[in-house]
Amino acid sequence: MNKLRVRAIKNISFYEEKKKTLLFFLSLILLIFISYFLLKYSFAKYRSQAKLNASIDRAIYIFETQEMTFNLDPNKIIPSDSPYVYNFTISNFKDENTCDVDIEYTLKIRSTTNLPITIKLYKNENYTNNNSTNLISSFSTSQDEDGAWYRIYPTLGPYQFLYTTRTTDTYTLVVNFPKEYSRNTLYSDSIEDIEVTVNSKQII
Amino acid sequence: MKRKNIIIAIIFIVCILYLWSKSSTAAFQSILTGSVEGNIADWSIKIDNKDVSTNIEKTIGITDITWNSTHTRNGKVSPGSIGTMKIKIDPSGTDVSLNFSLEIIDKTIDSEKILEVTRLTSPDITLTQNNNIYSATLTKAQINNEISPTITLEIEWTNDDNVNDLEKNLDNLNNYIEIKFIAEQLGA
Repeated sequence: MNKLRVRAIKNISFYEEKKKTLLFFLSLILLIFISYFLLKYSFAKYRSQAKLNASIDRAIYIFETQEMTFNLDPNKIIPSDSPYVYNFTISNFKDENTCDVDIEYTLKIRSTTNLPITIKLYKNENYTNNNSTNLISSFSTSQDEDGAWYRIYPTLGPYQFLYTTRTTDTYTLVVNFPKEYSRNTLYSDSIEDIEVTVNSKQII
Repeated sequence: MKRKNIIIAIIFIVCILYLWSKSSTAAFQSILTGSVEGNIADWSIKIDNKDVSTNIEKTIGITDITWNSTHTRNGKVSPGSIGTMKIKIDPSGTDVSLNFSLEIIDKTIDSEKILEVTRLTSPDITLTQNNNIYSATLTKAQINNEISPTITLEIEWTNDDNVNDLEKNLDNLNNYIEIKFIAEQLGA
C-alpha cells in the first residue's frame, strides 16, 4: 500500500516538473515575441500621422416667434363694430444671443371659413393710424385633403433681419366680426381658427 | 543532522574562498568608463505649429482659415460661406527625406460631410494627386533649405436646398471635413 502511495507521489512530482518546464518555455517564447515587437517598434522607420479638421465657429441661427396661433372662440368674441386685436412678435435674437446671419422671412395667414370675419395685418404700425399699411390685400379659398375649407391670405414681404442689428418686428392682427351678424344664429357655435405661418431662411 | 552540518560547512568554505579570491585579485584593477554615442537622425514634423512627430495619431484643428461670407458675422461660418484653409507642414529639424500625403475626406467623398474642397494649391512643392490623396516628397536638402510647404485649400459650405445641414451634428468638427495626414521617412 505504501509502495503504491510512493509511486503515485512520484508520478505527481514528475508531471509537476513537466508542467514547470512547459511554463518556462512558454514564458520564454512570449518574452521573445514581446522583445521582437519592441525592437521592431524601436527600429522602424520614422512615421507620423495626424487627423486634421477645420476649427470652425459656426454661426448661430435665431428666429424667435411668439403667439402665432389664435383661436377665436364665439364665447369670447361677438359681432361688434370694434375690431378684435391680437399682437405677435418676430425677433432675430433670444436673451443675449443674436443671430449671426442675415435672415429673410415671409408670413402667410390661413383661417377657417366658419365665421364671416375680415382680417388685416400691420407691421410695426398702429392700425388706427390712417397712414398705416395693411399687409393683406386679398385672399383665396382652398380645400384641404379632409375637405375642410380655408381662406389663405398672402401678405406683403419678404422682410429682412440683418445680423448687425437686434430687431423685433411687432405685428398686429386685426379681426373684424361685423355687428350686422349679431342676429344670425348660424355662427353661434362656430369656432374660427387663424394660423400665422412664418417661413424664414438665411440670406446667402 | 550530520548531513546538515556538512552543508553548512560547504557554504562556509565557499564564502571563505569567494572572499579570498576577491582580495587576491584586488591588487591589480583599473576603472574604465566608456560611452557609446550613436548619431541618431532627428524626426520632427509640425502641422499648424502643433507637433505630430509621433506615430500616435493626433487630431488637430486647423485654425488658419479665412472666411468670406457677405451675410454672416465676421469669423462665423454658415451655409454659403467660402473660405481659405492653410495647412502648414513644418519638417524643420528632420534629418531624413520624407514622403507625406494628405487624404481629403470632404462632401464629394462622404456626403455626410459639410464642407467641400473646391481647389487645392501648393506653391512651395509639387503635389501628386491620386483621387482624393495628395502626396509629395520633401528631400533632406529641401528640409535643410527650410522649405515648409503650405497647402492651401479653398473650402465651401455649399447650400443645398434639398439637404438640411441642421440635421447633422454641427458641433462635431469631424463632420465638416477630415484630412488624414501621413508622413514617412523615405527609404529605411
